[in-house]
Amino acid sequence: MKKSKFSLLNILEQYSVPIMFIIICAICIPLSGFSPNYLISEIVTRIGRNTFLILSLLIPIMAGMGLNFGMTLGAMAGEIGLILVADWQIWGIPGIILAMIISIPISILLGYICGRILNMAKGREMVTSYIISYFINGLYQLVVLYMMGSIIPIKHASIKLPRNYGIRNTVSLLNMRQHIDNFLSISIFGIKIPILTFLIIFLLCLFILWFKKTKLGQDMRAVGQDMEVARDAGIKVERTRIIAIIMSTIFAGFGMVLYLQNMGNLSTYSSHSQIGMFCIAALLVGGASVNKASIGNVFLGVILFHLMFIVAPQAGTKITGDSMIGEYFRVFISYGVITVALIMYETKKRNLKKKQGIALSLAQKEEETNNA
Amino acid sequence: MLKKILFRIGTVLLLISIAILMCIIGRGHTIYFDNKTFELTKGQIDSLYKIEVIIPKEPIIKLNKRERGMATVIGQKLNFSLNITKEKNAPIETTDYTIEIPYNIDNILINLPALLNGLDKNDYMSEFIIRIEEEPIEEIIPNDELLPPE
Repeated sequence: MKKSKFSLLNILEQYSVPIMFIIICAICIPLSGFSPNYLISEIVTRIGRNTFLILSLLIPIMAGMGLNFGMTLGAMAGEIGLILVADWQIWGIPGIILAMIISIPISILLGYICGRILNMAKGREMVTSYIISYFINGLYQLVVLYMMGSIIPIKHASIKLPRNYGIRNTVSLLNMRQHIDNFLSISIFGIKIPILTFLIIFLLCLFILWFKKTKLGQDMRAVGQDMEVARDAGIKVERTRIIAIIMSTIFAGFGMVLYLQNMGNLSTYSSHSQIGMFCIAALLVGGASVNKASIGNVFLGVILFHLMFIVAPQAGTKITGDSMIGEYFRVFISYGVITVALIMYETKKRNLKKKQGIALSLAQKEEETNNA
Repeated sequence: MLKKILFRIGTVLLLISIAILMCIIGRGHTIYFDNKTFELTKGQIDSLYKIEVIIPKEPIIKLNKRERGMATVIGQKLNFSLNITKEKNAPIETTDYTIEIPYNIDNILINLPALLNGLDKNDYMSEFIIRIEEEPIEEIIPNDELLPPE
């Protein structure tokens, strides 16, 4: 009897992480004591804030480069754009657009560097991009702590450190805070829906769907499936991989600008540090894997991951009486889910290889028997 | 090949144009409105009893004598209305103004009595410089106890 494709075991195996999160949230929500209105309002805000960043991870996965921890590079490019725009006193939506435009050449440069290095580390892209993000963070701090104000002119003392060079720990983005969110927002049962932000996210989703059907998108998918076969088919594998990383970095830069315009202030030295980890965790929570991710995984992941983010500290406080336990629980789950997803991916890969090996040896035995 | 190069150059030029446009239309200024006595070379222009400054999409600024109000403006043109009460129980007069804001100045101070008296732009408008107070660095002043014995 043929095993049904949609058997319970298959579903549990494929969606184990989202199911686990649904169970955790189902336990924590009543314990937290938050009203449904508050939770929905927070989730809508967080979808608007984070989805663009997480969508930027899809293209490298399509190209077979795994989870792009190097998206932090794009985040840093977006932050540099915002610092310059804040100094130039360009406010509102024009300021946000200008910051995105400024981030493009920086993202292209950083994405190119990251792509070239990842091409030298084929098969180890994730850990390499993770370390690259630390290296570029050092360069970013060199630029922001020493070069801005001395070599790169920064006019306003409110942004500069007292020593007249270097940027302060926090840069206020009050003059562009939530300008995109508020531009076309509507209120339904007291819940603010930022229409323009969702429209921008929708346009990116459409772009990704369209891009998959283009020649470059098909080349990326071919490279993602098998690099050698793609090379034999005449696809420039290294160039395609670099383009995938550059595109991801550019979108991460835009996503970071959207994220920070929602927050309203920029922590110069720490805003970008955890963004890669949390975005990847959210994507994995949505049921994505290292070699396969879809737009549905992004939205499911944002909702579940951030729901857990909201309710876990309060639920932890109610259970243990200590608010820090909830905080530790939240951080533990964030890193834990990446670990579980990576282990499951590796286990699945080894099982598949084992099955292929067994099938090959059976085929060889059959051939020998036939020849005999 | 040529088509590709032209497309790339066109994209770069388009992005630069949009960036320049955003710099122009998004330039923000903080406007400070003063209802204070304006000193002339000979004489002075007294402050008014009450002035209301109405700027579209901004809260109404109500200024009594010797008060200062603040508004933020994006762009190079400031359109506003003034509801003026010259003396107590006097009728309210309304006038509309459109002022060009200099691009390179962040904080602008407008003296309303000077503006209402038809003075030149250079008289009623000036740059407002905000001083940021830094915390003083503690200095250790050496005294005889710290100096090595002779």
